[in-house]
Amino acid sequence: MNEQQFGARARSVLNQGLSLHQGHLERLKVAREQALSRQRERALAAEFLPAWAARALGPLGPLGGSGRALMPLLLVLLVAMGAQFWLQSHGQNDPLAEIESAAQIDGALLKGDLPIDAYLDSGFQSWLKRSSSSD
Amino acid sequence: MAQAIKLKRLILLASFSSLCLAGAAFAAQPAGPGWSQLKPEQRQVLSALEGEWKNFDAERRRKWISIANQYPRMSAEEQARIQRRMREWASLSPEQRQVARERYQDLNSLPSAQRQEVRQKWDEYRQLPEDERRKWSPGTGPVRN
Repeated sequence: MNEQQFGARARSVLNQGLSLHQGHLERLKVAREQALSRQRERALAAEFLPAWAARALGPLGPLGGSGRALMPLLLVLLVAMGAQFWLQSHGQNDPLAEIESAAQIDGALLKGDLPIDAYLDSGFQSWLKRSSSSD
Repeated sequence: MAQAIKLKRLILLASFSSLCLAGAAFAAQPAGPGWSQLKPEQRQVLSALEGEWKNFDAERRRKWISIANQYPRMSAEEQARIQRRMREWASLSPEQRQVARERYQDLNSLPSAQRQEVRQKWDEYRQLPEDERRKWSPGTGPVRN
């Protein structure tokens, strides 16, 4: 007996009615409610995002149902592209370009004819200001 | 039907994993090229930093690689200065390096004659007796430790 035949037989038996004990009925009721609750949770997780994305982006034609299931991937891509665009439009440009620019400053400072101490010696900075103002 | 549900779950799992991976990649920047991944000429220029390289974050590594790439275009004297100062620079705190950069940029914005004058003043200052120089340091002493 395959699954379909078993289903048909079970339906026919159920159509004739079952006389079950109250305790069994209660247990069946609880089991049914638990199964429904689990099914609702799965449905929310599995259906909400693809369905929402499908509504937002429209059908994908030949992809059909698979296209709907692929929607989360498209959403991730869209969010990543949006984040990149936002970062660029808010002045946080290519971080590599910023590093390159800082490296140019460091390189120029390190190869320059003033030693590092000259920039960090606060005594020299005060003395320089004083001697410049007295010139 | 059961296969379609499995496929859907697989795709959802893949989407969720990619989102997590993207988030993790965004939060934790990669450490940058390891010492062995540098070109031989870069390793040669930066050899003084080999021992510390593993402690550098990605940004510092990229900065040093860029300096190593500028190196061949420098004069022999400039190359020698870089070699002398490399370890000293790397040993400074980020705050000290930032102070030095800002002062360098201030100096660099001056006309050439004034820049030259500051260089002469530095030599003059170094000639002052130690006691005299100490008088000019604020109570906390020089910025350098």
